[in-house]
Amino acid sequence: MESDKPPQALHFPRVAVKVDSRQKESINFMFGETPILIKCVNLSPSRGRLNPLVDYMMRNGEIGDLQVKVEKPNKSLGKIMETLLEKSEKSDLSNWKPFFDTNWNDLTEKLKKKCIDFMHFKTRLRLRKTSKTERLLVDSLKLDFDFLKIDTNGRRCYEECTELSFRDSKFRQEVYLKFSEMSEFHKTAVPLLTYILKIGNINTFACEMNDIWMYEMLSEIRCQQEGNVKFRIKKYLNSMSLELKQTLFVLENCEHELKTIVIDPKEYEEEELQRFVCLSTVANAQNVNIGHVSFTSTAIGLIEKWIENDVAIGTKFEFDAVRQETIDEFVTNFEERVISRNKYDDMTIRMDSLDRVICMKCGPFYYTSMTFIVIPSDPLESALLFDKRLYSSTDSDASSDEESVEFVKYRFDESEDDDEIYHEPLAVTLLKN
Amino acid sequence: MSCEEPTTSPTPENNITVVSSDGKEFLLDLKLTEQSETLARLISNFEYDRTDVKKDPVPLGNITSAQMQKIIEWLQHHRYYPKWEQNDIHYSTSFTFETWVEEYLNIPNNEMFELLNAANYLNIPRLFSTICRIMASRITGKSAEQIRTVLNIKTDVKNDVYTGIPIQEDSSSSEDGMSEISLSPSPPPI
Repeated sequence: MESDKPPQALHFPRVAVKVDSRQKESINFMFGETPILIKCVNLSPSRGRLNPLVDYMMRNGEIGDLQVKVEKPNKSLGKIMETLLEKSEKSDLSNWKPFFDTNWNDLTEKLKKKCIDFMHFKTRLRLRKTSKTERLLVDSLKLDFDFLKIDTNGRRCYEECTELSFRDSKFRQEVYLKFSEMSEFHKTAVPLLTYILKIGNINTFACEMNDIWMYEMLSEIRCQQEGNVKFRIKKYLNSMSLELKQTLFVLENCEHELKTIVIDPKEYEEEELQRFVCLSTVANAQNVNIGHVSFTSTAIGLIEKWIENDVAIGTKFEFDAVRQETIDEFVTNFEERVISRNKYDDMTIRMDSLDRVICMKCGPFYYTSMTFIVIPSDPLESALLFDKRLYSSTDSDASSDEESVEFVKYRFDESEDDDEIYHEPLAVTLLKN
Repeated sequence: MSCEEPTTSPTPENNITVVSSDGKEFLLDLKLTEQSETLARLISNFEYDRTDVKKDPVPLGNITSAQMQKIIEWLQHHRYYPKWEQNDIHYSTSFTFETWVEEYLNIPNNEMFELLNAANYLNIPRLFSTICRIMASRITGKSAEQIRTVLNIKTDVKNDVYTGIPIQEDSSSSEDGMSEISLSPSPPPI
């Protein structure tokens, strides 16, 4: 008798099917009052088949509320819906709305990068900590910095300490960190510095730190980047370092966009200066200033490089040296190229290009400043006049000369990338006004 | 209003019909399509701006009707705005938004990402940039763990082959302190 009775339909008040982005299904359903969760692997939901278990439930039971959730929009959802419509008798799909749980991980790399472009440097640092994928992504984006600076007591502080400061170009947020201990600097500042040098396009890198700290920093960089170091710096300033070794490492690994080099080493060998002069980044820089040069003949090697490379108008080289010795060595080296020489020993040297010449200016003292600048050959007198105006503040006649104004303009045009590190604080400027 | 539900009425001359992925049709004013580089190029290529050309419905297979509705709302609001300038740095770095924009984008992250995909597909730079900025602003000031929660990022962990315990590989001790740098006060607006 009992076997003749039709089987009683099973009741499932709620059934939820979820397909995640790795194509794994989970079925969460209520059988009467009992919640049951079943996770299925490799059931190929991408083929658009209804899960066999759900299929069975629909054929042999009553489903109250069926929820199908697919993380990513794909063709399988449409096919599943078709099957559901075929099999169900009382389906109400009027309020049906596909629900795709799109999240950050579903965005393409290109879109993620666009979003990261709008993030502050600090937010980027935190985002790159969330996962390896995000770290690779954040690190692949270069960030422009107005400056990166390390100096001692840049901002007033009770005890002497080293300060690391930087400002990104987009959001113009300035960060500064102070360190009194070498260990502290090594632990916190060096990784940050290394990272900025790795991902940054830096307008000005002012490295006013002593040789030991600088050595520590560069060793870390070398170690972290496994020898594949590449700096993107426009201006390199270092007047603290006594040795030339550390500077040589930075310059050897700089890309060709380096425009200005201002250094003042005091303890170096002639061989090191020779290496410095031979560097392509130095030969191509628009402005090179070495505070003190003991081996002038070696320094003059840079001028030979200029002639060889036919460098652009406006390229400038400055250093301090013994006056007469330098002039003598210079004349010996470039005897055939000297076009003119006046009573102040200012000279013009012929380059291979007819449109430009090298102008040499020297101060009046025994130990004096020497300046070499590439100027147009045509308005030669004006160029000399301009140089007089620049180096002799007492010469007031030159300021009224119209042509000299042209050269002043040209001189300022050359330094379009303003160094903003030494700007007065805004509050002070406002008070003055 | 150019945004309308499926319609059988004749298409006005200055409108085109777009069809969302779920088959709904929307009438779109040609003036509005100027904000979408994709649609503008399509209209120009097919000469849909000419009155004597027959305009076939444009299928937008990657955009659902809900997203299309939302996009049309955006296009309507920005109908009379000046042309978008890509290099407006002051605009692009700001995290302050119009009240309307804040209300408009007061939606869950998943919808936001879908809208971002749609804005990218239709190439609507103002909407695209605004969503990117909103996303950036949502995680600004949050720790790495909070960012994981907000963006639903699953960390890349590997299980130790012997113990089965997850090994966290994505942060080195020297870099831990790096993201906790303190910022000096923001500079005044220029």
